[in-house]
Amino acid sequence: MKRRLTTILLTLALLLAVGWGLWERTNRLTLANAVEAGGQRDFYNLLSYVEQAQVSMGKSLASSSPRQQAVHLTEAWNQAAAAQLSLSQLPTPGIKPINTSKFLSQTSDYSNYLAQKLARGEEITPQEREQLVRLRDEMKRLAADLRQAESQVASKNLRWSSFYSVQMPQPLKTIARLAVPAEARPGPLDGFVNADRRLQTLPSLNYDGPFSDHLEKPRPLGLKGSEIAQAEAERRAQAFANDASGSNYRVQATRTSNGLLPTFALNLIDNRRANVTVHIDVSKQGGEIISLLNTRPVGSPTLDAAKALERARAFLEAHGFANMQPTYTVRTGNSQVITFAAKEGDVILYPDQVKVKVALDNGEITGWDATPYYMAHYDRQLPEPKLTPAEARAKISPGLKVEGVRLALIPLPGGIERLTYEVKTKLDDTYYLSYINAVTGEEEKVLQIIDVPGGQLTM
Amino acid sequence: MYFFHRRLIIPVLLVVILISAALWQFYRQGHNPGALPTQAGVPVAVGDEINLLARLIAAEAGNEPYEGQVAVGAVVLNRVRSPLFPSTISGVIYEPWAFESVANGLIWRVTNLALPAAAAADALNGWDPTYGALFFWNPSKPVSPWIWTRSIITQIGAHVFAR
Repeated sequence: MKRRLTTILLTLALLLAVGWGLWERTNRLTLANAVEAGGQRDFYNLLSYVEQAQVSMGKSLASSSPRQQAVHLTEAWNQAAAAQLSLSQLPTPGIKPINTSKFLSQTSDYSNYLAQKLARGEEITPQEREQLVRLRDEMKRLAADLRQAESQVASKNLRWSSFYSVQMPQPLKTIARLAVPAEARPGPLDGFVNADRRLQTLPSLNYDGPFSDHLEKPRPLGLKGSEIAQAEAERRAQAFANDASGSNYRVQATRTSNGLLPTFALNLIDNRRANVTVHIDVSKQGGEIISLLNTRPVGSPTLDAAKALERARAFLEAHGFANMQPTYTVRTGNSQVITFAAKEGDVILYPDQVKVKVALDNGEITGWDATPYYMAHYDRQLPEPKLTPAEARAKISPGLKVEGVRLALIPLPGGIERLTYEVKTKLDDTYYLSYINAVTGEEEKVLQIIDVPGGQLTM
Repeated sequence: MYFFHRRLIIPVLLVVILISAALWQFYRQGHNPGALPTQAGVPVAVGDEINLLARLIAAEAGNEPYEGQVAVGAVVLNRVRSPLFPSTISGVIYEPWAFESVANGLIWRVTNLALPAAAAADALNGWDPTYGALFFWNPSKPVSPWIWTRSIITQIGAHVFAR
């Protein structure tokens, strides 16, 4: 009797274990199928967008009217961008096809640049056409490589979901390899690796767009003078921190940083308040204060936004930024972040920005970011505006209500700057900023002002 | 009573363990509290992007100094602006194997989001302690050897940042 009960219980346990295993297996397979479907979708999307982009680029080369060319280039722009998105979401472990990704982004951006050029009524130069031909040929070769990978995918040699399975432990792997020697056959992802290697060697592509190669490593234009010593950087950081907090700091640690803007990065500790630290970056060249971050928690506010602005402006003036115009202010938590732009005469220089963060509990400066200023600022020769403000106003489409006009230097894609009239307009309940070139009268750019809670544009 | 018999202890235990394991599994499948991206509940003022970025920062750099947290947020934003990566914050964060915490699910389990949310806000406001980094990794953990071919900018806390 007892033995029979033992048998029944053990059988029950076995059945439960088997049932559980089967259930887990079904779950796993369902998930694997979902992942496989995702991988397949991204792969076939990639393949078809690359083919389509190649065709669109070809059509734009074949068509004779600028209008048709612009249409096909716009298609190519979208198709290449969609291909890049699909590629980036494809699970390709161990290899990062960043060159392919860059190629697709650049081709997309370049097609957009050409389409916009045509839309402005300009012509494509022979060199630009040549570059387009070159990019189309590369797109063709990429399509061919992907088609080769497709045959592997179709013959199930390549399963995207398999890349997610847990790796065998190393000793087991070694035993498995000894037992079954690996065949020398092409790996499933070789097509990607080869294409990526080839695309790495493309000549650089320069044009007026955000992904142009000449913009990959911008140099800080606003730094002057020679390289400073670490001790000097520490002295300047300390003085700046003391002034920002009205307190007394000591340097805790200094390291160097070799980013686009090489700096000494310092951590400072407040001598008077416990657990208050400040992080400051001082540029190696010229020893300018690039950034400050104070991490103390900010208590409930006693200042309003106007007081904070006053405080930030006074702090800027005390540090040699005399003629600055506040352009935007946003409240994050109990702090107010105010963006200032430099002014030259009555022209606002939007590229030369400094952000100041003010703690609303006691008016302490808890943040400073002059990176845009030192990256962009230089002694410019601004052109004389050929249009009057009234003429700029007249360029605005009639349905819009004009609320203000002022001169502004704005950055455009490709590292270009243009002197414009900034015209603030209102359509229904939405505000827009239209930028009318002050020399040619062309509309260069339109911005829509998006309301963020606590954010405010200051005019 | 049969059940107190010594011989029965092991089978009974086995059955009990299996049943409770199955029940627990079932419970976990059904309820997944706080583990869904839509149930973020992060106490920050603006924007879904802050939520997303704060979660990633908390999962990737929760124990890092503040500027290290801002730096991780800045890397995501630098990637958004780079032709090498997707052009949206969610695209960058959910790129397969781009971030360990997304692969192992830590991003859904983080709870302390106060400081990471502030760091995310600073990063979105433009602060970038790395000045253009696109990659970061922890040198004490195994990483793909490929990553060391990038040009290193600096080290903040436990993370190396590179371009």
